[in-house]
Amino acid sequence: MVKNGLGRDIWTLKADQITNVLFYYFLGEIFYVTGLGVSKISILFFYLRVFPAKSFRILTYSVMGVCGVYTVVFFVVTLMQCRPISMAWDQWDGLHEGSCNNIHLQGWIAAAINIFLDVVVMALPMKHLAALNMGIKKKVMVMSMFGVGIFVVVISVIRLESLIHFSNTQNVTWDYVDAGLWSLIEIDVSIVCGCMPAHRLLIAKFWPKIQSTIGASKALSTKGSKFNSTNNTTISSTAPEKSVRLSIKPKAKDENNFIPLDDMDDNSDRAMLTKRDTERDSRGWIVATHEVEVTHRNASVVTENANDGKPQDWNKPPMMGREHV
Amino acid sequence: MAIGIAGAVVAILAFILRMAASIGKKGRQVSWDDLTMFIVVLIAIPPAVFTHFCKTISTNLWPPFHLQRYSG
Repeated sequence: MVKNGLGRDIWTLKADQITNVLFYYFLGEIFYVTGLGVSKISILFFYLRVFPAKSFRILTYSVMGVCGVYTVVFFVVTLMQCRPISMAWDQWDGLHEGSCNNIHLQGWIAAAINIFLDVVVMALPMKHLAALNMGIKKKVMVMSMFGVGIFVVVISVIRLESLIHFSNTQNVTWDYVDAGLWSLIEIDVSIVCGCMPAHRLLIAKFWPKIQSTIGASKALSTKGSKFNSTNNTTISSTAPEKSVRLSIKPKAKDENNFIPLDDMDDNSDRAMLTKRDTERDSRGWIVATHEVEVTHRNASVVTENANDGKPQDWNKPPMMGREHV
Repeated sequence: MAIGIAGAVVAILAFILRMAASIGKKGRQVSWDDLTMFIVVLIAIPPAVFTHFCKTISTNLWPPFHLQRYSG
């Protein structure tokens, strides 16, 4: 770092050190464009894990394609902003010949499209989350989890504003650094936001009490009790019991990759959805894995079906279960 | 400039926690979204380092970049 002039007055820097700094700026632009594009694709892959409905998957793949095209196009455009490419960091000394694109216009277009895609990616699942049959409080929580991308959008707008300011100021280096920092923060925030759903599972796994305080889960010790109370199944209260939890996995070809997110307890999103399965609007696209609790008591076996409260007919094909948030 | 490094550290920690949720038999399965996010994390690291390299230019308002940007 010292070699590149860190901590030294720039007037004392040699020409190659200045060129190095400009070269790093150039590389930073390319990393920024690529990183943001891939982060949107990652979030869309996450949607594919959660939402199994075919029409939504097609829509998601389409947006993913647009994001991919955006990433490739602006990667190339940024890379080829000057001809020869080295003009991007060599031009400052006026000793090199070549030409560059209108960097400002290019930056604004890239930022505007990026903001539009951010909004699209964030808004994509909202309609289907709103259609979920769950309590308003829980629904708002789920939508909030999917809506944290608003922070990325806000930072994108701030960055675009700093880019516009950059083009109209005499204090150019300072303002460019400002835009560069917002670019960095945007990537970092998009990573954090993209990882949040997994964090929720981690919290639920290791700190179930904390989770219960935020209303997402509680009372692990009451596991299964609500199935009993809601399904009107007669169960002996005296016999020792041994429970086995079963999950019916999806059978369709393209659903093999669906991943059962860890089932926390009977107040989890999955359980809530399962319990309300009879009331569920078929348009709701998050579908819970159906759980069957088999309870053995002495010589008798009581089977409870969380779906309809009736004994499960094992000769029939299982109802299809999907993943949940 | 410390913001750049701090942001990258927070992002890396977020990704590590994400992958921690996949540990164990009952952990969430690793999939394409994890792979692509891992790529993003890798991509986010170099610019953070670059800001540290380029600290001088932000503290000294000298216009080499001005020349470079306006001559196109």
